Amino acid sequence: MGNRRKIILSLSGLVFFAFAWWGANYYLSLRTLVVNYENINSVSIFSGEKITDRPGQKPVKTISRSGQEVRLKKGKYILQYDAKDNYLDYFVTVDLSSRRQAVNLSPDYSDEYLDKLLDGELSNIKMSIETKYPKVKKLYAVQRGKLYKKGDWYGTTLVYKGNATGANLFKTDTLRVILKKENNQWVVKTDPPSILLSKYVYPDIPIDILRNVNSFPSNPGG
Amino acid sequence: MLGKIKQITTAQWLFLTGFLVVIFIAYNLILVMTRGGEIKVNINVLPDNAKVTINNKPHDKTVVYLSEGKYDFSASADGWKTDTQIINISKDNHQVYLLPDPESEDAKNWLEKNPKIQLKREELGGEKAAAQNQAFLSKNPLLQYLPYSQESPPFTIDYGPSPVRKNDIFLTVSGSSPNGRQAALDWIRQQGADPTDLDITFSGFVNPLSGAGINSD
Repeated sequence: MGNRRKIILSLSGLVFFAFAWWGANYYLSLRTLVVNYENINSVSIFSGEKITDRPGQKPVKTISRSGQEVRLKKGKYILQYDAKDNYLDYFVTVDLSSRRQAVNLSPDYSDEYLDKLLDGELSNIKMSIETKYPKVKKLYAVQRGKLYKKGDWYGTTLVYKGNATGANLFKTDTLRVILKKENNQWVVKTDPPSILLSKYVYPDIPIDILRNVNSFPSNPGG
Repeated sequence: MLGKIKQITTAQWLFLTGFLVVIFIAYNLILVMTRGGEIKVNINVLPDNAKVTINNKPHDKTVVYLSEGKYDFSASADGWKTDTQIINISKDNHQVYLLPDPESEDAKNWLEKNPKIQLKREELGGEKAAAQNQAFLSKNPLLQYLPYSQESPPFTIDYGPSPVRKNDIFLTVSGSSPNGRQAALDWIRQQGADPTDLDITFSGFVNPLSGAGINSD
């Protein structure tokens, strides 16, 4: 075999080896993601970690059956789901680092559905607040507020309506309160209702609920 | 041997060079694929024979590649007080300083006899304090504006070290009325912070629903 042929064969072998090595490493770098869900029609998986306007960007994978497994490169992904009626379309971010990872998706109710549910819960909620804080009936107007998640969290503001005089004028702040439905009873979770609900004081309350209730408009009495 | 080297043809030299180039490219490609998204973290340790752990796993290099997130760093040596820190590694915070203090007489004597090492410790201590201060400000950017006072509606916002959370702060809103307290919260939001993420005490405010009530006529 001539030298030229030997060199060509050696180079070809080398290139083949390099690609084979690269291909093997690529395959070994892939991770398995198992997507379980309920009350969802389909899930689209996008590469990246931020939800931004992505006109034209196609998902890297689409899931149409709960329990489906997909193989993806290590990295961060956004799982955007199309929820069923009365449920909220939303997304979760996943950092795919383990060899095999499972994610469980269970959407919350939509804002419209939660608002409908609130009509049936409001009187019980008000009763729970007034039972715990008898002064509320005389001094505060309990605002309509909002339900959250699957209708088992509630937050509202208490706007002062009493006739404070003198130094008491400085105690007429709007207060915020959050309740949770436990064993079919509404239980106050932020005791006492406060001007601001901090994540440090209430680490067990979902932060998005805290933020939303803190953003309700205030009508201070002072 | 030299004779054999002289016999290698140009083509064979080209082949060898190409081989090394391909190996080099493949190696770097693999590095990029396996380290994608990771941050190069420099670990500065004195004494340099201290045993370093990251999340309780031993680590013996001065450079490590980590994903963003919180890690438990620790350096220990016989006769030295273990230095343990929880550090939030990010693109802006990737220097770690582990400086155990001498505890035993041997360790103290050794340090006295090595003034250059003591000087280096002081230098690294300064860099560590600067990095911690920077990390602190990054975590609490609002601090650069405090203390802050406003006349109408009136409020003053100040801060102090948190009595319950290490390396954290709490804010006080004082000199205020209900309108002023709300204005203070609005001002905090205008500085780009969310009051939900802060520990705020409203000085002088007595909550009517927590005990001292309002006597309304």
